[in-house]
Amino acid sequence: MLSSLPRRAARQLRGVAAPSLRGAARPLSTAPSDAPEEEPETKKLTMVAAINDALRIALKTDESAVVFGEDVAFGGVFRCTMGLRDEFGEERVLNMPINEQGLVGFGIGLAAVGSTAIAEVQFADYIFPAMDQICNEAAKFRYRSGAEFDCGGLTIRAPAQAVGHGGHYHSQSPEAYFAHTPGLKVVYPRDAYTAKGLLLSCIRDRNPCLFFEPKILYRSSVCDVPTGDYMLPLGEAEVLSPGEHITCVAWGAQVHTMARACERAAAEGVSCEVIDLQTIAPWDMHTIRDSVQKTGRLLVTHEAPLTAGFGAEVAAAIQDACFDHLEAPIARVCGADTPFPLAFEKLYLPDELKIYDAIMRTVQY
Amino acid sequence: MTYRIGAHSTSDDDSAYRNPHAPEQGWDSERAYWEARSPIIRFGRYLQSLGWWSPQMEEDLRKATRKQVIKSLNDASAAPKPNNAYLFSDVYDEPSWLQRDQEAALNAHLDKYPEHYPAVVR
Repeated sequence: MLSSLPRRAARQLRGVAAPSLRGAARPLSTAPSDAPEEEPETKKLTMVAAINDALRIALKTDESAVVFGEDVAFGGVFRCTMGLRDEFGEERVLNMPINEQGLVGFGIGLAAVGSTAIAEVQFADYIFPAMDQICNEAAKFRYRSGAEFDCGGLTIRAPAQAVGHGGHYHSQSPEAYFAHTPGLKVVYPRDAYTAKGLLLSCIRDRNPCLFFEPKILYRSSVCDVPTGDYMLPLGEAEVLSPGEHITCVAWGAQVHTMARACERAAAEGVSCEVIDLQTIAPWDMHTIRDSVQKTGRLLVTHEAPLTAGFGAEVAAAIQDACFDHLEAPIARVCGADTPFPLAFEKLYLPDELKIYDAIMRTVQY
Repeated sequence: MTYRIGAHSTSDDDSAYRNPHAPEQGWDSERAYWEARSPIIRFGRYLQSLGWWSPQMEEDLRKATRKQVIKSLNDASAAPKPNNAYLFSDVYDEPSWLQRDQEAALNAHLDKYPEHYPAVVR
């Protein structure tokens, strides 16, 4: 009875079609403004290669930039920093001891004296030893000095989210802990293209940023990525496909799971507006609000546990902004309130079918 | 200073980060240098010097332990998948209403779409 999920968006989500159409229009161009607008040169890249490319551009365009973390000098466990030490030298691409608190503290100091500090925490699950440095030092540096000092040049990259066999300590999505600390920006790419553009924005942003890389996409996300220097705006959600009946919001790898659920619902005549939040803090409430005022329904889905996950914040703010527009309770489809399990990963995760079922329940409410 | 004698896992190529040379002259490799400083190896040698342990006992113990570990691994691999109720147990001493409600919701979901979860044990 109703339009199905636009094919272009669906293809793009699978990383098959060229997102360069979108990419050409959106990056903040570094070309002179009077230059004729040209389609930028693109190359098929994995997310690992796109991140490597972003780091190379950051090191090339900013002589104060330093990349550091456990094992980054020989390429890192996921190979995101391959070749950078050979190209930029051991003073700019350096290994750290296995001490997350120490390496983040080092990054804060480096950024405080004016360098661009690009830290890697080997897994987001191991970011917790650095919690004090991130939440008490990095996040409050500007505020507590009345803007006399800041560590805005700090970016912390960390692989996050489920990977199929990661168990308790290689699977978590810790965004909500950090979104609860004002002063930090928290960002999730969904593919190679957004990874490069959002990472360069984080590196150049004048606030400490956490950049969580969905590790399952490192090699599975392949798409056309502009070879040049481009940035994608922080704090902006992206509407991947317009829809009429329900707004569906996710970030990171979950965007793909949610998009498949939306395709399944489209076959039943339900038109979903698919939105990638991209930045968790500060999140783009206005795009979600405008969408929900149109559709009257909202579903939020994330891999992290339900309770006090970021979906709770989205739901609370949207019921406040859209109370008169809502046709149904806001649905949250999230991880269970358990540690991330090894044997039960498939049951724990908010999979395609759980999201599909929640979409149908919400539109039939 | 500590030193990890083995690779991180079977998928870890430790030649990428291990120095091929010993840190000092007089040692065949970095590993040999560190093994000479290993408190476990040194303690074994100390026990042998007291006559409480022998190279034969060491080899027998290693063989028996290896066999036991491999058997445990195979037994665990062959064991049936655990019941999905264990997803929610042991988070607390007793599940809270959150775990109980979520378990009930999961079971209702599995009842509704059983064909999509063939491997689940209930």
